[in-house]
Amino acid sequence: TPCPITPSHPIAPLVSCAPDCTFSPSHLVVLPCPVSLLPLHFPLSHHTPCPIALPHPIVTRVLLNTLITPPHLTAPPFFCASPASLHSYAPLLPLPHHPPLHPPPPPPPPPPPPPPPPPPPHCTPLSITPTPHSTPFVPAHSPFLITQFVPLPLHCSVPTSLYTPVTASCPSPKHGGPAPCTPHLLSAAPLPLPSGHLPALKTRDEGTISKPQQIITHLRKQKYNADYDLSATQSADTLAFVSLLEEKLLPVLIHTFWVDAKNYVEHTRKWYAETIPFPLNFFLPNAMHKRHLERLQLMWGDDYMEDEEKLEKELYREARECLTLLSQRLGSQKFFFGDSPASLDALVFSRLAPLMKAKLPNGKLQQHLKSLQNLCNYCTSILSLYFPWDGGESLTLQGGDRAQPALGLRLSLPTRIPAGDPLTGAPRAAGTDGAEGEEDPHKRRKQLLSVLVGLAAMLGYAFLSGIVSIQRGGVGPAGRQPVALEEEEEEEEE
Amino acid sequence: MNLGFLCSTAEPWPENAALYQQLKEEQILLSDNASSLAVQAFLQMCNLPVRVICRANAEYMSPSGKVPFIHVGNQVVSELGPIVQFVKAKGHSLSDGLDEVQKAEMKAYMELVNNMLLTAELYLQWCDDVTVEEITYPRYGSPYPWPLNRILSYQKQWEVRRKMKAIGWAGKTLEQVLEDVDQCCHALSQRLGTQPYFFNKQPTELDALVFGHLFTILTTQLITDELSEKVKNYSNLTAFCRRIEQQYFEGHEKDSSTTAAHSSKRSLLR
Repeated sequence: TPCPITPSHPIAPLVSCAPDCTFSPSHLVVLPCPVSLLPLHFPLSHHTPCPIALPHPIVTRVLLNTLITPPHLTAPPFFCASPASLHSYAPLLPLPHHPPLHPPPPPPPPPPPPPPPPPPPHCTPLSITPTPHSTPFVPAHSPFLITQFVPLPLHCSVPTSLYTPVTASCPSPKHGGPAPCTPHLLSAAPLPLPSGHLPALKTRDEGTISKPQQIITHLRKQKYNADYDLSATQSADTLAFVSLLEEKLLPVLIHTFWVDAKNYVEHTRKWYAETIPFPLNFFLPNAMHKRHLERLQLMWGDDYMEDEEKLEKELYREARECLTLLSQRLGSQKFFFGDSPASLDALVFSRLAPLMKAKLPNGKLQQHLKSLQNLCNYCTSILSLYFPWDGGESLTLQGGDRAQPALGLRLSLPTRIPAGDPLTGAPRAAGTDGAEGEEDPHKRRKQLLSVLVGLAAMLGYAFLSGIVSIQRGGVGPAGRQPVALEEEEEEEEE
Repeated sequence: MNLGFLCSTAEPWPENAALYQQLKEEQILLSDNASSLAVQAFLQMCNLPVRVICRANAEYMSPSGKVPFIHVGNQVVSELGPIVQFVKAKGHSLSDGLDEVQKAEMKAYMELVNNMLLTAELYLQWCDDVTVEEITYPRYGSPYPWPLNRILSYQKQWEVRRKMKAIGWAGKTLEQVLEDVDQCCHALSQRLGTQPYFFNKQPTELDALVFGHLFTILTTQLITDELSEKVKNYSNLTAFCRRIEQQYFEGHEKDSSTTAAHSSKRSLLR
């Protein structure tokens, strides 16, 4: 069947529209981890210590949702405000291994394309090459925070002790829906991961990728690109603004969350310690604190670290200026480059959202951010568009029935949801159930562990003190002890 | 960074303002030369006279440890950012005519250059073993006797490598670094387009910074020409460098023997 949309069209979806194309996404499992690359995390309220969950799904979800531009761009339902319409466009139904179940929405006739490069000879899945002028810009060391999305090829066996699938699958990409990933909220420690770093993307073909940069590259190789329809100048601007954020804003954010004494002790450390499982919660936050401190020292030099006032005045001033610049650049637009989000939006959002939502005791930067109304609205709108579950909604895990469209997980939900959050209300009641549900796998595991430890202790003591012994064929040394003891007991009795 | 200058805004720009950098012929390295040239270009664009003084210990004299720094009146200010603010406090500014969005973009692009080009230059001269052995070690410690020159070089290299690790560049290969330089140049080239300067028809500090880095890269001979090749791919950037050189440095070069300056720049890191 001929492909109705020319692949070279700049707004065409990145994946071929042939109805029988079988896109088999790699099994992308992303395991969050509170480590270096993503220092910023935030719970939606103080009681939801999900540091591991949140920055990642936010960024990833935003990024991945924007990765494939839908065929009918003129009215992109992605970007309308209500989650209901979001679901209506991007139904949670079809799982990647059932591609034919869902009839594709009819692609609209494309507007006349600009002078295109020669189109590929035939329409095959994943054969679309991006137009030469819009090479994706992947900035050097920008932690694009893609994480936490896992497709639901549901035959992948997910050990429930480690993973908790958080959200529904996305439709298969031929519908121009979001990338087929599902966020997996991991509250396990990073240790089981091969590289010990989060975010990590586990792919079918290439193992686990743990650097955000590489994750983005991988996704781009899979033809998911949020920057596909940016002009060259806009791509250049993306690179520039990413550098601005990384140089001016990120170190100060790290400082606010991790180095500033009050914030660290009262908020960040407690937050991480509550979520990271035993025994890592004793030393992992401290290790991260030290690592961030060292990093800042290297970046800023020693005289800043020692002179608090100077640091405050100058560096925070620059960070505030950076926020103001972002606000000016955003203006009254919905996203940085018009009406459709790009990777810059994902990055800016990932930096700003934790700052906006976290309850920091020492929050000067936060106050400045809150005074910039358009940035606040921007964050809230992205949050509501792409992270509806994180707003406090609980989704119930419909256990083994994998054909169900809406898979979710009982999150440990906030009992106190911040006022600014758009998705409050009804889900709140279910929140408490969710909280218990979340605890269950861990509770059982903890119980089991404690029982085992107790048993082991008792047995060990019994063996060591000779109360119990293993009788061997001959008279072994172990045999003598109980005999001796028995003799002693007999003597005592006597 | 030095904010003390804010109190001395009343004084006009003195005649004997001086810019300090390392010794041009023997000591200065790629990244320092780029920064110094950027500041010189900026001051030229503002029409502020400044003498360039080369000292072997310029790095240690500088308040922040970075070259170049300027000595104006009784103020010492180092690095382009603070110098721009200082000059602005004195009443000269290149970016006043820009609107808010353009100012944001200008700052973003300046950070891009700092983030990518400067870091790539630092990487090349301190983390690439061949370049380090053949160029950096001999140059960096050249004013000092053995063993001090070696010790200082090792110390600086260790510092730079730690910083690279902190920002995540330690694991990069040279090809990746060159790739980043290419992307950065691509972005700059896109932004410049066919305009004479980055914003309108007037140069700004962004132009000075880009000129400083690109000119240095283009005119410096390293072990291989890969870095300058990356920049040469973009003809509007080379034309931009040439234009600024002709406009702001021609007169300057006539004072200090032109050909010598040119050839010294060309054989800068030999």
